[in-house]
Formats: sequence, C-alpha cells, structure tokens
Amino acid sequence: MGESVIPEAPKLSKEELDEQIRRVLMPCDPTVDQTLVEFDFRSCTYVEKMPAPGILELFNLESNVSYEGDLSFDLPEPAGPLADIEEEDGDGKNERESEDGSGEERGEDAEASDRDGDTDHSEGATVGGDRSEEDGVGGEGGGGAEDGDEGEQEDDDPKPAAKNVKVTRKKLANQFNYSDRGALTYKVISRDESTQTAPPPSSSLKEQLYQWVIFDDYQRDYANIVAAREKERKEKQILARHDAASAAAADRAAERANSQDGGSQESRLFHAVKIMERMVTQNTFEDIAFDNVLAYKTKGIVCIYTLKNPSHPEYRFKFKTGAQTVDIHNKEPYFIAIGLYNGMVAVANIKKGHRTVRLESDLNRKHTGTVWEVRWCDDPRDRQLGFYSAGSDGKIFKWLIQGQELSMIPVITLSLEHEMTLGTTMNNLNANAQCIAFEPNNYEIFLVGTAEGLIYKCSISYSCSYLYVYKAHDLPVYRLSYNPYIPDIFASCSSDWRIKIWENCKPEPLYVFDLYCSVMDVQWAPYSSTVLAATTSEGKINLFDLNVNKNQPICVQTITYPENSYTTRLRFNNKLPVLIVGDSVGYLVSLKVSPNCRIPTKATKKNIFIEPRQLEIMKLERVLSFVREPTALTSLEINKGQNQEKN
Amino acid sequence: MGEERGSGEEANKKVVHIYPLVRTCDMIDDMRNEAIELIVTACEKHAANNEMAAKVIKDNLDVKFGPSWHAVVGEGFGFNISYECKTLLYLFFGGNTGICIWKC
Repeated sequence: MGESVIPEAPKLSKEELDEQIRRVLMPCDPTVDQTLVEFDFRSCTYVEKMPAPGILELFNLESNVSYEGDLSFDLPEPAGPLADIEEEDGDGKNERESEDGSGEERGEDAEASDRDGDTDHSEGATVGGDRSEEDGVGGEGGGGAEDGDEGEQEDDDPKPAAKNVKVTRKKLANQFNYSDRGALTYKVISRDESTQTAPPPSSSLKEQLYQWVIFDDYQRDYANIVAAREKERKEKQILARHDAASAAAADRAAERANSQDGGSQESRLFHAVKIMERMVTQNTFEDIAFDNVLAYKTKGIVCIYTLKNPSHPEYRFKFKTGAQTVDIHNKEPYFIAIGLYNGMVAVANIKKGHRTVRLESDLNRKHTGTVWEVRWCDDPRDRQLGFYSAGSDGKIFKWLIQGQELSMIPVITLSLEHEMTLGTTMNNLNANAQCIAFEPNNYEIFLVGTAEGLIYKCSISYSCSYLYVYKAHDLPVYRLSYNPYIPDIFASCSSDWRIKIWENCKPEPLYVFDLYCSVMDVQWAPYSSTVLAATTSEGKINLFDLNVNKNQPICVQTITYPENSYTTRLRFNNKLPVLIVGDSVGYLVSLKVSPNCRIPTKATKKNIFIEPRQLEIMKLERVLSFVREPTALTSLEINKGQNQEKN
Repeated sequence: MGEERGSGEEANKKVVHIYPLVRTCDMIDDMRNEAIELIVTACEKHAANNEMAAKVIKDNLDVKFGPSWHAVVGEGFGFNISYECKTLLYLFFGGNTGICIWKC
C-alpha cells in the first residue's frame, strides 16, 4: 500500500537502513523551555515562570459543503464531516470501498452474534451495527455509489440489513441525551395445593317393585289404621264409663250430705262452691288484675261484680224500670246509690250480714224525669250518709239515709236563661240536667251538665243562682270529670263529638279534642294528672295523655261489640290501672292500661325529692302553661280595650 | 296378568287406596311433607305419563332442594342405588305406582 502511494524514496545505505532511529512522541513541545524562572522582588525568591502555550496553527479551512435532505437523520452524524475531509484529501475510491467492505463485514458479524445471543445484549450489538452502517453511508455520500452498495447488502443478507436500517432510524433521533434502562420484576412463584372434603354420608338401597308389593303394603297400612281407630274408640268408651260412675257416686254423696246435715251444711257447701268458681275463673282470666270493682247494667238490674270472678255477679238487684246510674260510697263501699229511669233513687247496702238492704225513694218525692246521675257526698255537717241526684227535670236533690227511709232535700233548680228559650212564654223552662260532678276536696261546689250543652257551676249554698255558666257544647253534655290533682281543671264530653278541657271560670276551653262521633263518657285517670280516657258511640276507647301528645290520643282500642250497640260508660279503678267499659247491650269489658301508656313521672332533678302527687301537679301545670294565655298579655289586652273605650 | 287382575278385583271389592303410602323415608319432616305434596301433585297431573311425572318431580326438587335429584316413577321396577343420607323417599301412590326419589 505504502509503495504504491509514495512516488519516490531516497536511497539509503544498508547501515543507514539498519540504524535504529528512536522517535519519541512527546505530549509537550520540546522546543519550549520548561525551566524558565523569574526573580520575584516582593518575596526575594525565584519563581517558576509558566511557559507560553506551544500551539501553532498551521492550517485552517472552513467547510463549505452543505447537505440537502433529512436533517434529523444526518445532523448528529459524526462521520459526515470526517468523510468530507478524507475526500478532500483526494484518497482513492477503491481504498474507501475496501474499508467500507470491511466495515460491512464487521457489521454482519455483529449481527450474527446478535441473533445467536440473548436479546438482552441486542442493545450494544445494534449500536455496533449502526456505526458500521454509518461509515458505509458516509462513504457512499462521498463516492456517489449508493446503489451498488445497497445492492450488495441486499444480496448478502437483506433481512438483517432492513432491520438495521429501521432500528438505526429510530435510535438516532436524539443521540446525545438518550438513555435506555431495563428492569425485571420479581417472578410470582406459583404452587399447587389440593384438598378434598369428606363426601356427604351416603348409603344404598336395593329393592324390587311389583304391583303385589304395593297392594300388600296398602292392605297392611289400612289394617293398621283400622286397628288404631278401634283402639281409640274403646278407650273413649272406657273413659266415659268411668266418668259416669264417678259422677253417680258424687251425686249419691251429695244427696246423702244434704239429707243428713241440712241447711247449715248447704250454705257451707255454697260458700265452698263459690270459692271454687272464683278459683276456676281466676285461672281462666289470669291476666286480669284483681280488685273489687263495681259494674252496672242499665236494663233494670244492678249487678255487682268482682274482678276475681267476671263470669257471675256477686250481687244482683232487680228494678221495675231501668237503672240509669250507680255510685259507690268512697269510705263505705257497701253503700250503693242507684238512679232509676222513672226518677226514683235507691240505696243498696251489701255489707256482709245485712243481706242486701234496699231503700227506695217515695213515689211522691222523686224526680219528674230520668235520674241521669247520682253522686255520694261527704258533707261533714251531715250525720247521715247523703247523696245528690241530677234529673232530666233540671232539679238537683240531696238524699239522706234516715233509718229505713230516704229523705229528700231540694238543692237547686236549673232554669234556662232568657237567651236560650225560644220565646218569652217559656221563661221558666227548666234545663235538662245530664250529669253532675263534685269538686274534689270541696263538698260545696259542683258542676251540672245539661242537654242544652251548658255547664253550670253551682254551690249547694245558693239555691237559685249559679256561680258560672260555661257555654260548652252544641249538643247534650254527657259527662263531666274533675281532674283529681288540680280541682280547677275539668273535662266535659258531648254528643257534638268533642271533649273539652276547662279551667275554672274561663269561658274558653284549654283543649278541644274531636273524636268524630258522639263521646259518651270521659274520665280522668286516678294514676296520672294528664291522662284521660273517653269512650265513643263507635265502641272505641281513646286514651289521651296530654304530657305525651296534645293533639292525638296515645291509644285507641276498638272493642268488638255485637252490632247495633255502643259503649255508654267508662270508669277507672281507683288503685289499679284498670278500665271498665259498659255498653248499651249489657256487656262489660275490663281493660288494663298498658305499661307503655302509664310511665310514671320522674323528677327532673335527682337530688330533690318531690312527692309523687306534687310531681303530677307540676306535670299538669307545665302542660297547661302552653295553652293558658299569659297573664301579662291578657291584662294588656284589657287595658287596650279600656283605652279604646275611653277614646 | 292373572294375578294382577285378581288383586285389582280384590281391591275393588274392598277399598281402593290411592293415598300416598310411604314405604321408606329418611328425610326430615319438612322436606318429606313438601316432597310428598310435590309428588302427589305431579302424579295426579300426569297420571298416564310416568316419564313426564318423573321429569316434573325431578325439576321441582332440583329447584327446591338443590340440584342432582333423581326420580323413578313406575308400576314395576327394580333398583339398587346409593344416595345421600336424609334424601331418600320411596313411596306408593294411587294404588299402583311406585315413586322413588333420592339425591346423589
């Protein structure tokens, strides 16, 4: 290669040729003196002087070659300018080509190793391939023999070449800050495991079925059934025979006892039987609370029941006319006052030993209308027991038990006011008293409800004037009931569907409840100051608790009656939360108030002990405070009214 | 045949029993009552078609008590089965039909 390039060489002798000439390439310029020193006057020492940079510029040529084409592909090409320079040097084309060929070969080798080796190393391999390719391209650009070269490549191995070109184009997009990184995630190790549950228990059955098998089975089964029936029947017969025998024996014994012992034995037997009956019914009605309670019927019979034996009355009094009302004396509960339909009153004494004493009022001295209500009074001035009666003739009488007679004292005659009468001629028309109620703890004051819807507040001291008149209802007032805790509060009910709760001498009611059918009876509960019960003509019992709900009853119980009957009366037991309801046909129903409806009142502050009665009063006062008009406001209004009048 | 006729005549003379008569059963009471009711309904509906009856019984049992029930309905057959305990009911119905149901 050297000989062909160098045209002429100087002729040298053998010695000269053999002489070894050592040449050493130095990194620094040997011509520059490295040991120059300079005297520094300030420090009075010689200081080494840095040599001047020994670079000499011999030749400088700016390139004027420009490339037209894909910049992104060629710009970062490091081989481009080099190739240009080499071309300018004027080197032979063959030489370049041979170089290209060797490059090509190297590329191929690298490619082969790539294909053999792991893909992990492909990165480096492709880079190597790239370089070789670039070299080739550079040479071709210079030589202009692009086509031939490519043809060669394709002949040799077209596929890898194509691949190379492709990869190269991608990789060279940005050669300077390109980096590649690979990572391998952990392998998830899988493992096989298997279990088997115990199979459900099984057994096997082997049988042959023929028609005769079925037939025989049916026959056998039928025979069994028949036998069982027979046996049952026989047992029954035996039992019946036993019963008959024992009954006969008992009869015989009873007969013997009667004949031998006579009357005293009989009464004792009666007593025993009575206790027995009580026991039996008590077992039957186990849930019902036990206490003596009075009940009544309105068909001319007064029956006295006990809760211990609801199936049969303890005492029974018959009257010619209907008995309208009864009342039991508070302190002497064996005295019972009865009001009759024909205007008479009666008293029954069921004290043991007295054997049901009955006193009836005189035919001459009686109400001229039905007696609607009787009330025992406990006037301390009276020595005898006395009671009041209200009749539809508008009169209130007081009756005193004097020995074996009843003496009558007229108390008041209720006459309608002028506004209520239809004309002037009817001025002295009497009101139709429907009910009467005495203020608790005050024997003098009482209320009378009339069929005209008025409520009169009267005193036994005044026989012709009233203390107050409430224009309460539009239809007859059926019942009045004083609150047992605050005597200023009372409730009234009427057939105009309403229950009203009043405060003493206030013209407007505090509460009005509309029950959408005639309210036959209303009673305050003795156990709570805010609870009242009402019964309606539809046979419903409504239980109100003002403390819980001021608008709706807290409990409504429909009592299933025979048709065409309605509930008439309702009464609380004084000690137990038991209600008794009577109806127009003569049925009595006793109800127990659910514990949910009578949760006892609790004191707000635990430290202070307040009597239960006081608590109840406070509760009612609180409830009423919501509906009472504030006193300040009312006085203001009055003042305003006065002012207006003045003006 | 003669025998069959004879038995039929006897039955006619006395009482023809058609109520379901359980021959073998190890089901619990609720399941048993339900199954008997189902069988009676199916057999009354498909009195002439035992195949249909069996199909109905099987399908209904599968729905009610979970799958893979087997039902055999016929007037004469033999069987040797292995069944899951508490799921076997073998009863006669209508005087001449035997029904065997089991789960396996």
